[in-house]
Amino acid sequence: MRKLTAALCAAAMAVSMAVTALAAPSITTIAPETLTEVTTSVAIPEGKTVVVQAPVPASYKSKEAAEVVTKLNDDTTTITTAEILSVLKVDTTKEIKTESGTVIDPTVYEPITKFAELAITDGATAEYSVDGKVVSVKATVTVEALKDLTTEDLKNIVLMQIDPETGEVYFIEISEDDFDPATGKITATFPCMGPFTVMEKAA
Amino acid sequence: MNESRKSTHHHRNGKGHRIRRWFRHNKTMILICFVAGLAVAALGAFGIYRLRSIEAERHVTAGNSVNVGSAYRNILYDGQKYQYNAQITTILYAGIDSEGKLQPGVTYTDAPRADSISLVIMDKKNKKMTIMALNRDLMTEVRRYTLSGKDRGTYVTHLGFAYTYGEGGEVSCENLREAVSNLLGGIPINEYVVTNRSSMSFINNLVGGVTVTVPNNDLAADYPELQQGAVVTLDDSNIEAYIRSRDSDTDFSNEGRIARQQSYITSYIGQFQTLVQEDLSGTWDRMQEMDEFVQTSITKNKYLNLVNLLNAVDFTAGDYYIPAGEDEAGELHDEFYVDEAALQDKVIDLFYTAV
Repeated sequence: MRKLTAALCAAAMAVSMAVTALAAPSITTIAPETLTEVTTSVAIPEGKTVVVQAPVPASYKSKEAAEVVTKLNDDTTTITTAEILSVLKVDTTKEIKTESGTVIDPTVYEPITKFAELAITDGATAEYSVDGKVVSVKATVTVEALKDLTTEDLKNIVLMQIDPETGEVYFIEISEDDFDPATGKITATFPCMGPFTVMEKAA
Repeated sequence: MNESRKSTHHHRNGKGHRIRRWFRHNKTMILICFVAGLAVAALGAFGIYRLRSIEAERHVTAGNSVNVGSAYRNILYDGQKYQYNAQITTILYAGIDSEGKLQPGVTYTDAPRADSISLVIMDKKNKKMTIMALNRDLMTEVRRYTLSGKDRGTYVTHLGFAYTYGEGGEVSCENLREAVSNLLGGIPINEYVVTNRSSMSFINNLVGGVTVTVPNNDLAADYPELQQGAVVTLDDSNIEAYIRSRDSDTDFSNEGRIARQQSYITSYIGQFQTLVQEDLSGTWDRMQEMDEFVQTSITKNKYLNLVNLLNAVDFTAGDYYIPAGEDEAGELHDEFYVDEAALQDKVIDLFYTAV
């Protein structure tokens, strides 16, 4: 019998609108957003830009990449890290290293954000390569979910990126120097364009 | 024979024999130790099970499991002792930035944000109702989770994100409740009501449309019926404009909107009081119709008590409180830093009595 009390709704609704009125630029999401200081390994065609955006799995050549991104971002389904790695055919019995060479066990990490993706766009389409060439990107991304983390906390964070063309998986560590706890900004080198999520090691 | 004897002798003097003999002589002690070991193991297993159970519960409803304790009951402020007014009932309201049904998902951290947050404070002792409007950009401690619902502790962020970090259902509501309670020094938030944009017309229509005296001409150009001083019963054609619209190119247009909102709420409460006095049960039944567009902790029994309380308190436009503070341009979004001293004074004023 969980229902409402109209008095409260009524009172509150009007107030709520007042508060809305006070608000300025909207807070939007706790997923990775905004991209600055972008450097790419391949020149981006004129009229197109590199952005961070909500994923477009339908544009991925890798069905496995599309599947895990769709599942993780779907509010009605759950998928564990082990399941993600299984779909992507990552052999967790072998040693897995981050891009900077640290050996990690990715199964002990779990996502703290949904997937966002790096894409090349003209505003209408999403592409992940230039003339068939893989595009690596060094960029700064703002991640609300990382705000206020300590240096120790940061050691438990990795980015997991998936190549949307091949389904290959990359793990990227964030160095202390490339992290601003006040804003959640991280600067990282992504081996390719495509979807990525932020993962935290379970305590 | 000799071989046999030798063999027997060998066994009697061997290590195995000594062990067996030791076991024979210490049967009782061994049994006790064994039972004790089992008990310890069982207790250990039970302890681990309980810890995991508690942890699992926390994963699902961390916001709900937080014990605000009783520290708020008796406080010392500026050298003066104060006691919490136990005759206060608080209801947290949030307007969510979404349309359609309000349904929880199975993952956390991606629910819509709470666009507007307010606290209805009904004080039976002083027969007074106050509405505290809280800016969604107010920077305060908010609990965050992983996608699977694991508690990651609190950090300072926009109050509006407290709902976002949940699953869009009870955990989101409880997370917001916890954040507001902590902001106000741990006072209890008794109930919550969450609606979204799809609820707006229904709420207005519940009382047959709210009749207001239009306080300004802000909307007169687009809505000729909304001339200053006109007495208008709002309906689906103008309710959203009346409540939400403003000309963002005009300085201080927000003040005009707040004036409209205050006229709306003041009228609404009066009309609602009349409605429930005339048809208490029927009003509840009509509210069931919008069940899918509302999330609330209020049951029918609580509703009856709250209606009685509503009829016992006064509310005027002056009982509408917006905490003071400063807007700052954040890295991405505006941030609102509340004047903590002023808010603390208000908390004392609203919730406490000097003893």
